[in-house]
Amino acid sequence: MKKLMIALLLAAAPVAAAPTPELVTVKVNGLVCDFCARSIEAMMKKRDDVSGVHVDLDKGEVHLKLKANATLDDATLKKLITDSGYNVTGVDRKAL
Amino acid sequence: MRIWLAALGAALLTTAAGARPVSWPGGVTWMQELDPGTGSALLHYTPNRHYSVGGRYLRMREEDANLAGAQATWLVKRWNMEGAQANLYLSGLAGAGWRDGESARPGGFVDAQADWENRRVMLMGMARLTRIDRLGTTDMQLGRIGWAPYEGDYGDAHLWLFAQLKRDSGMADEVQPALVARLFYRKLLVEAGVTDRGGLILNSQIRF
Repeated sequence: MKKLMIALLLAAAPVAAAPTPELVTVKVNGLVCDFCARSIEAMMKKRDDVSGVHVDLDKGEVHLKLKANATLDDATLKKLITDSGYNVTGVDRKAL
Repeated sequence: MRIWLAALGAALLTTAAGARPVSWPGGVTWMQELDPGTGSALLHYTPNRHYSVGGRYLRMREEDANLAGAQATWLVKRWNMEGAQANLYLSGLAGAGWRDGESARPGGFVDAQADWENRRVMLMGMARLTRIDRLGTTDMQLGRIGWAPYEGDYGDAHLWLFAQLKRDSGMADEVQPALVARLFYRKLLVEAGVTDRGGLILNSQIRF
């Protein structure tokens, strides 16, 4: 009975959610050249909140993996992509 | 349509060996060019996405003349389209020019460059006016049309094949058609080509 009570208490206790990294897909216009798109990687790698960068030339997309608990708001993201030489046409976010 | 026509017009006027004379904010680029008429080296820094500044040394091989100075390049306009990009640049160099064994005189150049590309076709054009006090004024135009035999993914080695036409009023052989192959991998770009008279073209570019 005592064990059952402990199990119920543990189950009812609030559990802190583990920090979940976010995957950001940025739709970009003008993304046609690997050599030029290195600018995106160079800009993103300067940041502490980005843990991974992948460029998909076929889809015209940039995929960013954010660090757990990190946030990169749309305005900052658009500025980074614009400074890299491209235009953002859409941003999609999902937790990994 | 107007963008297409502008890019095509620029390409017909001329062509540029260098890709992206303005890099990303904080980026440093080393560019080297060699053909039968000229050799040059440019190191530039990009403070922001609109312009770059640097230093260039230019050797006019037939005239045994040299030009060195500070260069600024302005990205006048970039058109980012779905599946394509076009750019218009203006550059200027101010410095000194000299013929071998002679004293240096004020000199410089101004040029305009334009390009349009998608993943399989590239059009590039450039026109330059060079002036060195007492040595005179020359004008050069260069145009390229390029084709990528395959669409590489990000991180692959990419190949482009160009047909190039260069006209330089400072050269005895004013008009030089050429075929040039461009290979780039990550931040390194190398070009090798040959003119109709067997002259060698070797260009490279690396970004830091």
